[in-house]
Formats: sequence, C-alpha cells, structure tokens
Amino acid sequence: MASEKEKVFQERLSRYTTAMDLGKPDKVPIRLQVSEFLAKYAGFTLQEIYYDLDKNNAAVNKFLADFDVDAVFGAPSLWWASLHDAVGAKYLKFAGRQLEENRQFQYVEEEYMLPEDYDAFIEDPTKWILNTYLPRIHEEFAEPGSYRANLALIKGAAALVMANGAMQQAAATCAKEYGVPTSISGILKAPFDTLGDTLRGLKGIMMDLRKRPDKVLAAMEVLVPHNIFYALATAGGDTVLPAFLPLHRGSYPFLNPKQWDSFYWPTLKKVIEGLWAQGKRTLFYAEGNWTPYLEKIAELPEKSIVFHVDQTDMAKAKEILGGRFCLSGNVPNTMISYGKPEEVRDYCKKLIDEYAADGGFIIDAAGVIQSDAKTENIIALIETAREYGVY
Amino acid sequence: MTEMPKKEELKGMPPGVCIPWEQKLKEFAPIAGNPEIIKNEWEKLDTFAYIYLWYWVHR
Repeated sequence: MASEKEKVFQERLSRYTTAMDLGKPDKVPIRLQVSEFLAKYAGFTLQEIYYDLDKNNAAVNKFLADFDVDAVFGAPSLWWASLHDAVGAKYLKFAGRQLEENRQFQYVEEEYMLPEDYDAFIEDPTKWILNTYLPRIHEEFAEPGSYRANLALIKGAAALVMANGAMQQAAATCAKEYGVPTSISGILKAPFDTLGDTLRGLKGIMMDLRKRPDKVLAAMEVLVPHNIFYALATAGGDTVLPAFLPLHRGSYPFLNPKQWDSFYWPTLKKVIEGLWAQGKRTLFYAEGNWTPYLEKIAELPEKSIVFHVDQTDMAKAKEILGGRFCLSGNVPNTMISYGKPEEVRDYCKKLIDEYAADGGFIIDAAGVIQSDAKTENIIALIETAREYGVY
Repeated sequence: MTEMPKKEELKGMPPGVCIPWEQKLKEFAPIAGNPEIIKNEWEKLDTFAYIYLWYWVHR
C-alpha cells in the first residue's frame, strides 16, 4: 500500500474503531451501508452487478473515488447470481434473468423446511442441509447422485470460492487504492431469523410458535454454536471489524414482547455473547423498530455490539444504550430517496448535536441504501458530517 | 454472561465439521508419516464443505 493511502486508511480505521470503542475520534465517522445505489451511480444495470463480478467491484471503486467516507459495506451485491444459477436456486430471482434488468433481486419465500423436518434438523443440521434442504431448494439437485446433481455440486462449490475471492479482492482494493476499510467482516443471523427466513419462512415460523414451540426452541439452541462459527469463519478470523447481523423478525411488532422474550432474545443473546467472548464485536443492525426491547439489549456486555438505529426511538436508544454501546444510524432512507439536500443537512446536524457529542457515534443511513437514493442527498449527508461533525 | 453448551452436549456434527477427523483417521490407517499434516489439511477442506452447506441457510 502506498504510504499516503496507508496513512489515510489508518486514520479512517482509527476513527471508526475509536467510535465503536465508545471513544471520541477527531471526527464523527461516516459509515455507509450502500448496495444497489452503487450500481446506479457507476452507470451499471443491476443485471451487470449481480452477474459480473468485475463490474460489481468496479461500482464500489467508482463511489470511493468520488466520496469521502470512513467505512464502506463493500461491493453492491453480496451475491453472485451465477452461483445461484449453477445450482438452480429456486428462492431468488435476479435482474436480467427472471426480472427486468434494473429490478432489485426478489426472494421467493416458501416453507423450504417442513414441520416434520424439525427432528432431523435438530439431530444433525449439517446432514439435513445436504440430504434434504439442498435437493429441495436447488433444481439441479432434484435427482441426488445424478450427472446434473454432481456437476452442480462442483460448480456451486467452485462458484463460492470465486465469489469469495472477488469479495476479498474488492476489500483489498478499497484499502489499497482508496484508503477505505470495509465496515464489517463476517456475517450471521439471529437463530430465530435463520429458522424464520430461509427455512420455515414467516408464515411457517409464526404457526410453529403456537403449534410446536418446543421444537422451535430446540432448533434455535442447535443453531447457536453454528451461527457463532459461521460469523467467525466468514470473517476469516478478523476481530477488528464487527460481524454484520441484519436483524429481521425481531423488529416490533413482528413478535409481541412476550414472544420476543421467549423465542427471539435468549439465543440471539447467546450468539452475541459467544462472539464477544472470542473478541468479535457485532453490528446489531436493528432493521425496523426495536424500542420495546432496549432494556433487554442493554444487558449485553459493554461494547459487544454497535447498535444500529433504523426506526428505533433514537432518544430512547441514547438514554438506555448510550455510554454502553456505540450507536449508529439513522438518516431516514425515505429522506435520502425523496427528500431535499437541505432536509438531509438539517437531519444530520441534529443527529450530531444530540447524539454524537460524547463520541461513540457513527453516522449512517437508517437502512441499507438502495438504488432509489438521490446522489445529491448522499453528498449532503457526507458533506454535513465532514463539516459539522468535527470534535 | 449466558452459559454456552459444552462440546459434548452439542447435537449432530459440531460447527465446522462434516466428517470428523477421528472417523476419517480410522479409514486411513495406518498413516505412514506425520498424521498432523494430513489432519490439518483434511479439516480445512472439511470446513469449506461445511461453509458451503451452511451458506445456503445463512442467506
């Protein structure tokens, strides 16, 4: 890394990690979780960034060449559509194949795990995934052991290596060429979300809470060590950056507080504490509203998470979690997409005035920034934070 | 701090494992050289297979 870029990289990384450690850096760090907006800004179609790994990486490079941020999510698409095509994945639709070329990917939610699968899953989830789940979700595995199925396994595994290599290359380029660290390393889910997203789906998991609550609890206990391991493995052992934990079904009012206390929180807490015991902080990306649960979240070990505010009451988050965890967020995505730069500037100033004064704050959009964001509003966010967010 | 399950209490294959080395070692025996060298590389690839399988669940 050239010495000037190395210096800038270290300054940005220090700004980011100081805030996560509840300190007061020289400036309020700017971390933007940007995805499909990067494609639009770089002039690529969504089909291009989902299918072409080079263009996926080029999109983030264009953004970093033009904007001054302290940490960035990485390339716009986390997934390579060709990996899914190689195995005939049924549950995602991508731009340019099933969808028009600038349509965001779509998830096709089904009960891919059936109620009668619980026992086999609990007994040995890894075996169940290979023997039951993959043939069910991948068209190419419809006849296990067949020419098509064996070929798809080879292609799928090779594609995962290729996609991971491209992501690592993208992160290295962000650091080396643009002096910007990635905002996360490693990814995981809450056990309830693992079960309620890709396995049972929302309808299935909500029925299970009434019909088979003991099975749900047992399956989530089984998931705890696997989710911890997956986060550390996908982080490649890094403990400087936080693991990304996008939280879905725990947002109020998907679950009521009693369900949240019984089903959502205990295993999520175990996962976060298990990671923290190994030195790995979690980016608690609280999508939606988590206001009713702030007192429980405050029970986590100090500094073990960065609590990201989407629609959670920011004042209550500061009151209950402030001084214990770094807070991040919460410039509304609707404002970034449909508002005016002046509104974004005013909102950012208010955030900095009310929540950043003591340090331990990172400015970011409330949710992942999609292709409907306006460039002038992204500029307003960054400029305001840089001009106004100086300690 | 929440109590974590002990290794012996875990159900199924432990995290990162598809086929345990202990099982594979019995199939390999006898190993002429240093088994640790073979074990380390075996476990790396076994963990990759595990990550590939769980990738589809953690999506």
